[in-house]
Amino acid sequence: MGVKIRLEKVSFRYGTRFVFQDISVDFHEHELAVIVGPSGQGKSTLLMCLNRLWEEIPGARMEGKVWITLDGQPRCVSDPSFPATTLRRRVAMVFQTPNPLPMTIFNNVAFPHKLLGVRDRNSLEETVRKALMKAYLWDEVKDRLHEDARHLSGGQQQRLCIARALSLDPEVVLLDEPTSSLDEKAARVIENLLLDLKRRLTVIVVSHATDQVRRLADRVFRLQDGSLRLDPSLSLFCVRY
Amino acid sequence: MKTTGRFFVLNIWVVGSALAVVSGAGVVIGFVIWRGVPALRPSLLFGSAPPWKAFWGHVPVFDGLWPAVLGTVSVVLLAVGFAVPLGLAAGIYLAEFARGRTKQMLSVAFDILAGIPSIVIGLFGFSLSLSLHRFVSPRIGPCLLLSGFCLGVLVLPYLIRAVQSALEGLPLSLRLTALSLGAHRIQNLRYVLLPSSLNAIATGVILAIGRCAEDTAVILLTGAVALAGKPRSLLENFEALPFYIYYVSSQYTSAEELQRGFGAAIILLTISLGLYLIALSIRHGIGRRVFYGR
Repeated sequence: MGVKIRLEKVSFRYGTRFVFQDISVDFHEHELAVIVGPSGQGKSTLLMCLNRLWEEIPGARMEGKVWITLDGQPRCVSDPSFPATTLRRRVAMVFQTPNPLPMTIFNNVAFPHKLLGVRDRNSLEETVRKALMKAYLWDEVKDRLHEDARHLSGGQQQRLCIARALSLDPEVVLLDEPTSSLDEKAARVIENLLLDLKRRLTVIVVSHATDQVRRLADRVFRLQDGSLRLDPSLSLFCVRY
Repeated sequence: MKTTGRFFVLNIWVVGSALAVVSGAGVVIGFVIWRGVPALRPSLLFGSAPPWKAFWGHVPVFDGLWPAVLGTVSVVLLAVGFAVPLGLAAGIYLAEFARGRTKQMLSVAFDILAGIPSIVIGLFGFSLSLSLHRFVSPRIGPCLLLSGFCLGVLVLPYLIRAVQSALEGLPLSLRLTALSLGAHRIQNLRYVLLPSSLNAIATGVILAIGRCAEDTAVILLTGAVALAGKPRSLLENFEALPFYIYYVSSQYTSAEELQRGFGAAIILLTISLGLYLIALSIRHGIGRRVFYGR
């Protein structure tokens, strides 16, 4: 299986405080990698290094290189000459708390496409429908696409955010504790969705729930004390890889 | 038990303060209405001129407040029209683009500007008019345009701070949402950050409108006079309600004249309310279009 993402000596700090140092690791194509570790060790920050979202946080600074294979070509995406907007469309991110924008369900999914200048109603409708189907949400919302997205349940909102991220046809999906604010049933739906996704994409998930890690992960990494290592105790259960 | 007691005291304090503020404002407004309502007749606005014709400006009004109403609305619109675009831009710059020392220095400068008494802003406007009179054209003196500009300067720092704190108060998760979907910073600002902080920005604009409508010290020195007729051009003197209220309250000669002052106060309150409702409906209209537009 080919390497999809390569981190070379990646260090990160907020002001003068180092979060992690010299992390070098490969993530493979069609892999579902899970990152575990205590709170405050920089798991979410590590995800933000992959799509350069850290650049929007004042005082943050990253060193090292991140390579991602996009359209079959390895690209050094940490280089400022690589457009961050292009990167973020190919490396999608889903946050811990569902964050639908204050607009309708339809407009939430259509939003990134409108940003790209797509105005054709039919093509937008098709994109929205496909994305909602991928996120197992279409049947539940097809009759109320023009309602405020914030009226959906927590699980539905999170799947809407996943649909929005998937609508851009990304090659990598990053998920930061996507089920931590959801109940057991809603979390299981999202877990199944993730297992389905990794057949087509590379998926990196930050998770706290040990059971979930065992159900999902191909490989488990532990981020602790500023370094990232394969977690042997949890990886034992990961038989799929 | 002790904690419950403390909460009880806190509750009384909080509810009591809120009631005191609301009832205080209620008493003031009630008093103004009680004293002013008997004066509210068409003749208060239009004097002896036929009201309908005077309303459309076909006949001049000599002993009514209609020119002052027009003057107040004009000067407020001028001031807000000058201050809102500038305040919005400066607030956005401070919140989203300025960093480090530049941001610190600008913040201090705007805070100092916010602390300047309105009479000093009036003096600044007056000096400005003298300079313009001497060096640019002898036709320029205290006028409507200058008053609007100076009132704009007066409310500018409040607007800047309102916009800045509205934007900075948005949660990081919302701030990162559109960016994580490939939006540029400007797109993020246009489609997510500004619409989401519209309520707080509108509150700032509404307060600015109120401040412009009530301020007397600035217009006193920069263009308001007791008798000028309806505003004819930006470069001429004008009448304004706060100036009239100030003038009457300090120099009234009869009980009836004082009553007219209270009547003018009611009209000023109504104008503020009207401008407030217009600002609110604009906010509502923009909000709906941005969030739910196709």
